[in-house]
Amino acid sequence: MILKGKSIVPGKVKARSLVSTTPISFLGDVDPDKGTIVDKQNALYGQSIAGKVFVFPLGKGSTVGSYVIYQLKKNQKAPIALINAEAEAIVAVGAIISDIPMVQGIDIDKIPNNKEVYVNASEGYLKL
Amino acid sequence: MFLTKQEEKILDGELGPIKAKAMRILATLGDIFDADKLIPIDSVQVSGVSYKTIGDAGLSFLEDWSHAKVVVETRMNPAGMDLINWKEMGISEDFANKQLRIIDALTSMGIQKSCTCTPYHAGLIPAKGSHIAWSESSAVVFANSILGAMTNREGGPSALSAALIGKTPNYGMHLERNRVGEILFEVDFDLTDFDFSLLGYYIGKYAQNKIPIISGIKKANQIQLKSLGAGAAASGGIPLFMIKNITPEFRIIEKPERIHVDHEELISIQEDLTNCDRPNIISFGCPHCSLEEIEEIIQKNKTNKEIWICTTKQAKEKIKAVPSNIKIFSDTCMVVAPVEKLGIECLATDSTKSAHYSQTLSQIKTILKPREELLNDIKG
Repeated sequence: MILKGKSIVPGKVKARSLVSTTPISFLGDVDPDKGTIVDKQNALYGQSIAGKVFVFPLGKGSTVGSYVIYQLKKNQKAPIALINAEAEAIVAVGAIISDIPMVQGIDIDKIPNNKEVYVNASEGYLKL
Repeated sequence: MFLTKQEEKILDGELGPIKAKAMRILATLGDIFDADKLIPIDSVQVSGVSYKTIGDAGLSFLEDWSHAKVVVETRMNPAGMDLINWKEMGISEDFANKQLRIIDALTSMGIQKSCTCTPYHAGLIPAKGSHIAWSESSAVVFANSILGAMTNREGGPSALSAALIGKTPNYGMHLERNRVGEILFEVDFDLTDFDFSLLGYYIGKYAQNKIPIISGIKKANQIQLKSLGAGAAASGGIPLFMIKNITPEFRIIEKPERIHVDHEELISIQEDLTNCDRPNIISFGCPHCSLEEIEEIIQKNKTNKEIWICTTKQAKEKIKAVPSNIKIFSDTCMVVAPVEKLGIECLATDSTKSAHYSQTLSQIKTILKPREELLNDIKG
């Protein structure tokens, strides 16, 4: 199955998916040193986003979240790709400054958790 | 969004990898918010300066970007401490070192070390109709509503990118068609200085992302309007308000929704933002006090409690005689300083914005009262 969206940061990667059905605030919801989800309300609590194709509806919360994505990357705990349903500035800016391939405008309901996904962020599509 | 040939070359790396990323941020934000093009800006005010707000993540980012240079006049938002007298605030060595590294990184990019939320009290007054990219929320609302300049509420990285490129995406508050009052707040009583802060907070709470219009204010000085805007931007993210004969471009829709403002409701905001009764300090300067305000505070000071005044470096340098219970700090404010680590559990203020963020961001308790009452407070 091919899912089409819009490229934010180019790149081609393949990894397993981690899917959050709720919006993510990188400041507060994610531990920048460990790369784990520390928001107890989130169903993925305790799981690591490092090296995953991290899929969630959109970003929320403080604009400092962009810097947290950057810190994850420097700590080698960042997702390998970011996939969003809706356009939102905090995550887009974070992906750009951190060189993390990113696609948005994706129908994320079609992506199962923990499944191998090929991301062609240069052309703005995913292959399951 | 359309990019010129020159802008595309920057995106492709002609001016190096950092400017390429800055351009990508502007282009992407332009796409997200449906801008048609980038427009030149006259000045930038960068937020995300305090180590308390951006932490190690922001510090490491700014140091990595520190060798790129800004191309327009750029100022800094307040830092987490007075850059010289930080020891007097009780700031730790570790915090101070990291804060100074942030300032060094920003300074080496060509950003002026004038850390204030009121650049208009420090010589940077954008022209009416000019495009700017400012980020501190009360400065944004002041620039749009009182000075008639045009700016969106920028975030740290987007303002920094605008400073490095000298342009910003043309959307939101940069378009005349979006600068129109949509929801009318009717005031039918005389406002004290303190009421302006309460009214702003009230409007921000009930404007529902619409541009507010305020009727019934015949006269207001810049200090009162500064308080009004700061309150509105703290409780509701308001970028612009319209007051007839005050806002340079008074433009409203035909039949705006109306809300009648009751003085009782303003008093209830004061009660909501008061949850302690014995202040460790009384704090003024949110937004930063002007020189005239400081002179008036010193003159009317009757309290024996400790007062901290936050202001611009320019104003602080001009004040010579300071009473023993008053400390004047520049470059910082009680919103972005690590007050919760300075032994302050209960902070008294005359600013709804300061009370709001003290409770939410710093998680300390507050007393919200008019300035005159705080200056006359001589109880133990």
